[in-house]
Amino acid sequence: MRLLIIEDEPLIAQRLERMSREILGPRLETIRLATRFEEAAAWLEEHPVDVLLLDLNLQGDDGMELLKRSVAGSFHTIIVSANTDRALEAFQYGVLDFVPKPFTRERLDQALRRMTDPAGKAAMATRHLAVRKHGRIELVAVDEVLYVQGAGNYTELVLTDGRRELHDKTLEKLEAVLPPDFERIHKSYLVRQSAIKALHAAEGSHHEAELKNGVRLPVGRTRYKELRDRLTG
Amino acid sequence: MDAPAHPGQSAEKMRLTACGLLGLILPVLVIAAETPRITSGALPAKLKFGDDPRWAAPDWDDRDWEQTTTADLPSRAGIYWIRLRLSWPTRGRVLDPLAAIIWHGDPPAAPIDSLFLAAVFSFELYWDGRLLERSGVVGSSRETEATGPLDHLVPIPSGLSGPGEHVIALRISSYHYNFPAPSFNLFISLGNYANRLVYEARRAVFPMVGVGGALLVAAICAVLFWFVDRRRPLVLCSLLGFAVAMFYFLIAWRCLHNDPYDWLYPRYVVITALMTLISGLVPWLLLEQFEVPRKGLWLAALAPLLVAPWVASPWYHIVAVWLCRLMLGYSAVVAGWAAWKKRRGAWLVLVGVCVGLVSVRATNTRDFLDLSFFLTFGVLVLSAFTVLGMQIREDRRRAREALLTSARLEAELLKKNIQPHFLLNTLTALSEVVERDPAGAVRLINDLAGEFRSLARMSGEKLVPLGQELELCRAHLRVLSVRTGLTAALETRGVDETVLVPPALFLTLIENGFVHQRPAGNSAAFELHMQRPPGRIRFTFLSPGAVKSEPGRPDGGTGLRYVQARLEESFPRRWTLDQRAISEGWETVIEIQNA
Repeated sequence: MRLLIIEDEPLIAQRLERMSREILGPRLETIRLATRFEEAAAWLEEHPVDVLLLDLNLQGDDGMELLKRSVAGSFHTIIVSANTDRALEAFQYGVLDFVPKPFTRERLDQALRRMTDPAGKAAMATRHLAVRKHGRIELVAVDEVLYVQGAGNYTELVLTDGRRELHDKTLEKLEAVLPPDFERIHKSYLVRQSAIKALHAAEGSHHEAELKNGVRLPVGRTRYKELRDRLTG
Repeated sequence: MDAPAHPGQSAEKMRLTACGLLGLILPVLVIAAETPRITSGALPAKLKFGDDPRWAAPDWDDRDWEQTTTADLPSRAGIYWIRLRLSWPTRGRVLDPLAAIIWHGDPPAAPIDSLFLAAVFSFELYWDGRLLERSGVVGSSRETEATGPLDHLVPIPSGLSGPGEHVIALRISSYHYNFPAPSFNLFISLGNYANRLVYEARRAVFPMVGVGGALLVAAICAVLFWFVDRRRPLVLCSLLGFAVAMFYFLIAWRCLHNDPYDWLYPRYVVITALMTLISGLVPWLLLEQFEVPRKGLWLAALAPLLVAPWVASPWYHIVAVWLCRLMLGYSAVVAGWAAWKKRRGAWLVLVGVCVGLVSVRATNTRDFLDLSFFLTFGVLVLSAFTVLGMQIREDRRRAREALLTSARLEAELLKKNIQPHFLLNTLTALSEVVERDPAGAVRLINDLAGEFRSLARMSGEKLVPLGQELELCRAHLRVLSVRTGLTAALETRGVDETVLVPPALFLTLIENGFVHQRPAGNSAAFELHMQRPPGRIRFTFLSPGAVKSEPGRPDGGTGLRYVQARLEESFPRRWTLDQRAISEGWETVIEIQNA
């Protein structure tokens, strides 16, 4: 796992680094400390990371702007902050977790485990997804998302009005932050369950889900039965 | 008001030069100035020194008597007789200005049945040879003469009235006449008895309303001063109210009590003295009210203006007019200055002064102590009083606001270091230090405790000794040094630790420094330099490091607002704060006056 820590107080940064090393052990591939977001951004240009531990003073516009830039990235964002009153807002922007300061090793462990353990997925409150568009960051309401199509290192958000937006996160990472209503029906598709109109068994072992707007999407064989049970049940 | 004392020839000239124009006349004042009389001005009369009862006879031959007028009768000159010939007017006229307004200058024909006299002498009055009125006892010396009342309304018996010529003979002595003049004026007029009574009754109304109003203002100001606000303008306004009330009362007095004739002059002198007092109080009140700087100088300039009229003229009414003019002119300057400086209510007072100036300019000196005076002083006192009210309301609003601000600042001070961001970050750092360096953790806890102790001691204080403030700053810097890994310190120069400053003043500047600046290298050395230029204290505070390019630094943040609010709370309008970027960092200069 590749970690990036943005924290301007050296003691706290050292604490985050030390604990991450202890928690992840050999799973930790690289770890990098930065004191400011700008400094981290330069590093990110060259080095892909999996998770960003971000100390963010979310008071004021600057904080929100940095948060948006962060969640628009391909990596997961875990906020480590004293501003617990802004936690809900952070979750709405799709952060993986919010670790209030001061923190214990157990709490950091829990947050990092969300990266890999789907069972650890909380009832995510994400209501906006940040997308890069023409060099700017725009917010897409999660309610408008019909389904998500994986496309390698990024994903395509298909909205209810037919528009498509590119998002930097992988399907797996998005699945971790989107609300439980989104169902992984195929290795390449994440669909809003309530948008499914019918399931069709096509020729052979080929299954399809028909959405309310008529679009048909493939359903993975292993996922078909589970999905059928859930929809009929 | 009918003024029996006439200043005579020389005074007439003074009157002309002193009293100004009669051209600009307010409608009301036209009426006030034109109190209609049947006999206006001086009447021709024959005069003979000596005493002979036969001189009362209507057909006595007075051709060898001295020719004179009723406006120039010798005073304190023994017993003499004068004889006047009056032709019976065809129709009577209304004396009362109010009635004149009602009748549009075309009064009803009221039968003439009485004679009105204002006499500053003792006399016997013979009408066509018949003794109609006796006032006091005519005497050949001051001792033998007894004074009589000033005003007389004498009914003319029906048998003696009627068209044609009538002869009035007056036997006169005036040893108690005390005006500083060799002659006096006899005011005499024919009219309707009932009309005259109504007129006399109404004459007291305006001055008495003035008495009531002025007393009310005086009482309200005294009560406000005692219970609400101990400010000097209230005392002055109260004094002014009492002086104006007394002034009006003395004006009204003639209608309330028929004095002996020798009381007239002392009453006028007292009235003029009261006017002098008022003419001093009004400008003084305005100076206080509008917080004019160098009040002493202004007052010194006022003094000669109050003395000059007394020196320049022996005549009470000229003194009064000039006092009034000078006072109004002076007040116009003060109110004009205040209006220029945008002082609250200055325009209202300026309007009041201008109304006064116009009405005084428009008034005939003879009638000066009449309706126009009511207008001049009434408007002036009311406008000054209103402005006082406005100012008190404004001050109370400010006081309430200051109280709220105080409470808010206190809360803000406490919040400063209990705020989650500071406290929780410190605790996070502490938890790391505890695990790695227990001794260091104890030191950090001590510093944090020290900072909280300082803050707790300061909360609720508006000012603290600088020493305490520096202690707080240093504890804070020690905590931040551990947290940030920087060597942060505060160096001081020329500091007097006993000087009082608002709590957390410099602490806030340090916090701002950490938020808005990036220290160069591994140290952050803050500097505080204290100087004492004459009448001031200057603090120069340097926050080291390059200023981050962020919008809103110059006058934005909550920290700076806290500093400004605290300074205003403790040194209202006596402080300045300037800040700028310099090569070493960010410099903040705070100056406090008269500290």
